[in-house]
Amino acid sequence: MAELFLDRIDGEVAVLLFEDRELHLPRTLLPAGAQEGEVLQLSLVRDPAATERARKRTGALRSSLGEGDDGGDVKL
Amino acid sequence: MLRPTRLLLLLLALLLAPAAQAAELRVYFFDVGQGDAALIVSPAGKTVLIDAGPPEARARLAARLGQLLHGPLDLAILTHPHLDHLGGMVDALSVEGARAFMDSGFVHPSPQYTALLEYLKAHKIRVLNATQGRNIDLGGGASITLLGPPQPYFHGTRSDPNANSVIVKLTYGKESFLFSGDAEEETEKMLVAHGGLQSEVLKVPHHGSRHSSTEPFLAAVKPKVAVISVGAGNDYGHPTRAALDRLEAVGAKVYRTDLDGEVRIDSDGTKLRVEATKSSEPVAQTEHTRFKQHEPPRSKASEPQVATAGGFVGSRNSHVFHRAGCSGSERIKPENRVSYPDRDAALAAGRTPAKDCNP
Repeated sequence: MAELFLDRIDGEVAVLLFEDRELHLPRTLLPAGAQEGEVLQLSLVRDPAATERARKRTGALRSSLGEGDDGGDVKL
Repeated sequence: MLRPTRLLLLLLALLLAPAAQAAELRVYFFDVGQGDAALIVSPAGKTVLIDAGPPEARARLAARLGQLLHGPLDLAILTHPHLDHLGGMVDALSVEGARAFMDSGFVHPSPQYTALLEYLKAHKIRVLNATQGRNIDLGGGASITLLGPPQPYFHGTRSDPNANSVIVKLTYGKESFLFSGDAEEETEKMLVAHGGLQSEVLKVPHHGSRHSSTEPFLAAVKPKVAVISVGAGNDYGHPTRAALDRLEAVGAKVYRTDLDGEVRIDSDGTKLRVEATKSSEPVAQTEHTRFKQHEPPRSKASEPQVATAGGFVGSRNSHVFHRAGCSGSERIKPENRVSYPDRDAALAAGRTPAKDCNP
């Protein structure tokens, strides 16, 4: 869990302060009702199942695209 | 006295001579802010794009390619699937189309990489696999040899997508260019062990990161010219002092896209000619007036300037820019403040306009 300070909301961008940095997040990720000047808690969670799904889908697509390539020398 | 027909032949020969000499290799290192994008134009006119910069620079890159391309890209290479290299790829492929695409095949399933693959499929663009030792003939005596990614891929490194970058060695006559993607220490070690690295021009790996440009690697490449593709005031501290010192130690003349703008290197196969322009100049100017001789390195130019009245400013900790004096700009701590003389310079540094004060 990390503690962030909601410094300001500019249009659709929420500017959060973490250590000495500004983090820009889409405003839609803010908890409902969050206002400038509030302290927020942030946690990021690993998702092995979603990672595996993405890896399989993208990997299969990349493999199918490269199937016709014999890997030999090429003349452009 | 010469007869008219002989005179005509002589005139024709004089007219044709410069054209024959003009068959040069030309390499553009584009100013795309924090990211990489380069274009090779072979003496036979074949075009190879290597990376396409971050998404913030995609319109600018597409506009520049629109000026330079006269037909489809012959090949587009994505060295690795990080967004600062692939962000403008779909737009770049859309400018004039592309005959072929190549990448490392290392799966990094980001939505943007997946969308690129979907685009290649939908447009039936031939997809090639980058394999070590593969040779690509660019015509006119220029060719590419692939020195990476390694087979099998590296796993468990600090950054596997970086470690498995496509490594491109371009050779024309006596001159070679090494495009090293975002290679880091493991990859550099593998390349040194493999041999054949010596190149006059090095596209410095990973924007001058401290994890790259190791001493053994630079000793093997022996670059005369080193090009760092990097954005002004980036969050990563690129290029690092450590990498710059190591490049200086091997005697390489360093060009940086954040300070020098677009860098163009021409070669007739026996020598190089380097020209650079400031990125703040309008993209639409003609090539003849755009390019000027590179100025001597400005020792303090890499330091952020203190914002003065007028102009535009950004924070080292964000990607946006503000009008100087605007409320957003006032909140930036002085030590984090980076200033730009005009809007184009801020855009060229890869920044996007802040929402306040309509910069």
